[in-house]
Amino acid sequence: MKPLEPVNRLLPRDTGGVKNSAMVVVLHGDKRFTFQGKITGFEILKALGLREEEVLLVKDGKLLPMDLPVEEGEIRVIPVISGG
Amino acid sequence: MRCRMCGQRAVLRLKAYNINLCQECLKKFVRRRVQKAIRDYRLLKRDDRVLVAVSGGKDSLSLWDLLQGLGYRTKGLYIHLGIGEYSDRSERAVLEFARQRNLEVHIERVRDHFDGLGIPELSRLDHRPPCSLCGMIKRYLMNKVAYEGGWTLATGHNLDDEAAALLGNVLDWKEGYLARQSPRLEPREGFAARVKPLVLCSEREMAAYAISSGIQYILEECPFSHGATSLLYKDLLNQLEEHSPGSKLRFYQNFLKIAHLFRTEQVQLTPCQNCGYPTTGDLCNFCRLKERLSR
Repeated sequence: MKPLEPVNRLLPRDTGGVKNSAMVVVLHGDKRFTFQGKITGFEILKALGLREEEVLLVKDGKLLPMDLPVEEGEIRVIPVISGG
Repeated sequence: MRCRMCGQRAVLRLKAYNINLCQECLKKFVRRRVQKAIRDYRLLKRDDRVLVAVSGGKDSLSLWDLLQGLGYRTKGLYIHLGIGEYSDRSERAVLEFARQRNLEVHIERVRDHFDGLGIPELSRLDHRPPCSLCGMIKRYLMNKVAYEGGWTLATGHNLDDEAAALLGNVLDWKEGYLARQSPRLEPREGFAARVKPLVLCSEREMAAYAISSGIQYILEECPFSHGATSLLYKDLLNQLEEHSPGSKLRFYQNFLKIAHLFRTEQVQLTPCQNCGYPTTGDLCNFCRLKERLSR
């Protein structure tokens, strides 16, 4: 797995980002993160500080292969831990 | 990352088994784990009629889907807890699941048993935590419906649920709970048989199964579950799992090998004076609650 590049790959939504270039939008609960350039599921988890055992990543209604570099689109973080 | 079974691109890495699986093989894998649990722990016989307790969440709906797919005769049981919109949304998810598959579902409403009161109101009036009250009411109603209908009751407890419960029971050495923590509880007078076919499947495997199978489950958590101790135990176990894959499974399966050591004489039960279901006192907890509220 490639190490994460520094913060310029993780842009909070309100920075505006770069409108004309491809982006990966990650929805995690009520938070939204944007990544520029290719990024894998493993790298997204690392950037968001999530453990692989606790979440799944879904793109277009399907599980995202964690090692597949994604360049654009919307990815949802699905928590798997439930109960009380 | 390639699927160990078919060589296609894998979507899930299961470190506990040191395998990667694609979406289709993941479904087969979970189905085999359920079949293994049913076989190893003698959970069900081919002709058992299975009442699946469903909440609208990933585990119970997936369990229903799996048991139905494995050829068991099933029916769903949904208990509407009266927890505002959360319960309404859960009910809709269950009904939609059943409608799509042409399955039958029995619905019990807590409000029908307590003069229009749901869990939040009952908790306030009885000065009791909602989760303890909810657990007691659900256990009573699930058993009643299953027992009276001659069903085997199946619940969607997964490996993470069982390992977290076990950790909690071991931390306090609750021998009574340890004695009863089993994938199958045999039927006896006043009690339906209870089984947990998902005990060998992790929570993550079940979520992946549900998504891969197109099951529309509710992601929303019960509003009362925030800060629950079981979530802390699950978190601790997942930290352990990260450093030592397979820990949860070993913890639970090795416990089952020695669980008989905790089983001593059964507590003497007598019929509840009101409903007739077994209890340790004159009235069962369910009827005692009703009596307290009627005062």
